[in-house]
Amino acid sequence: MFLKKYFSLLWVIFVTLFATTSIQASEPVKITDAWIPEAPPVVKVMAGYLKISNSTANDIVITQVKSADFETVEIHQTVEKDGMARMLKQDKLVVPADSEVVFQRGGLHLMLINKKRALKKGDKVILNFSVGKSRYRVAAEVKEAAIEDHSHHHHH
Amino acid sequence: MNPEPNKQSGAARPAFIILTIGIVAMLLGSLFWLYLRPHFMAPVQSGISSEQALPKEIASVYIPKGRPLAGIRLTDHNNQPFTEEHFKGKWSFLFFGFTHCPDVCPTTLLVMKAVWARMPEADKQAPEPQLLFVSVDPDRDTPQILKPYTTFYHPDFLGVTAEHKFLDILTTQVGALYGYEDGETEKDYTVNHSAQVILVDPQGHFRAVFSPPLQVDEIVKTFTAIREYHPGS
Ligand SMILES: [Cu+2]
Repeated sequence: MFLKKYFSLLWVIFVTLFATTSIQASEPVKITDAWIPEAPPVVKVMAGYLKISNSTANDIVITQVKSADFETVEIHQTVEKDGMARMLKQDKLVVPADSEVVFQRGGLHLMLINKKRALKKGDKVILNFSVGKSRYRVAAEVKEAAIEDHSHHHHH
Repeated sequence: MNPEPNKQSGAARPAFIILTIGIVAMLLGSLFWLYLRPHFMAPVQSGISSEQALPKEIASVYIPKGRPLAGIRLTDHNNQPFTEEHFKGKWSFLFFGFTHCPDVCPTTLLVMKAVWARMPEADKQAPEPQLLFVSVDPDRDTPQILKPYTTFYHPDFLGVTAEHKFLDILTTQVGALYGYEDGETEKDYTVNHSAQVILVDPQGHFRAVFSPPLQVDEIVKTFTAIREYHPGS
């Protein structure tokens, strides 16, 4: 009786381990480091930053991003044109084979439009990415936004 | 028949003189270019060097002549008027944007917040500088929205805006640009805007431009140098 339980537990552990590693090994597309800078509560439009890596031999195309916490989610690229900062909406985003695309300040960002609930530091926002026929569910954390001062100044 | 040779010699003489003058001029000219020009140019160069004497860390941003700002009629986030008189006596940093801006404006305000954290370095005695977040989206950015937005980034930052004709009086004087672009719905339009930070001196003159990418350390050091260099600051 005890032995049977022991083996079944071992089996469960083994299966779990195997399943987890096999998922990771076969995970061709990874969306990581997703975060949302905390914004003034009056603000209805927020930004999202993350990293998408595509380790497959084929280009992938992000066709849609959705979140239950926002009316609309768009992919934008900040560019400077005619002396002005502009945001260009990307109807789709291609992540080339065996490469990664980084969403960061002053460049690619998720434009999270019209928030449906108050969001403060520590809150999690679920983002759903459509990549071809696959769906990726990513939790983005709302974090305090600060710009690092790289000077390491020594005044105290 | 007689006048002919006379005429010829008469014509030949001026031609000879002109030719001689021409050759001498060319010789002098080449002499000037080769040997004398550097000497003649020297005073001209030293004339430029009064501007070149700008400390090198401020040379690319400082506007030696400055430009007095006039006709400024803005409203701050406390519903108080903001005119050119409010520039007097302290340095002002101006940034143009809109509160629906998720990427560039928060980034710039966070850079300025980090700059503010280091401001005492610049000069402990001088009056505190002020930061104006100028909304170029007055239709959506009322003072009620501007105040919580701007002070979220720093309690001392001041949001200001105005109706377009008054906004344009300011933007044209400091070379800032803005424009609107349709979004999915009528209220979701976005605003294109200059990403520079403008510096106005304590005399109310447009005095420097910081261009992106904005670096905290660079702004602090450059501003410190400007403040040391600028007469009457
Ligand atoms: Cu955007």
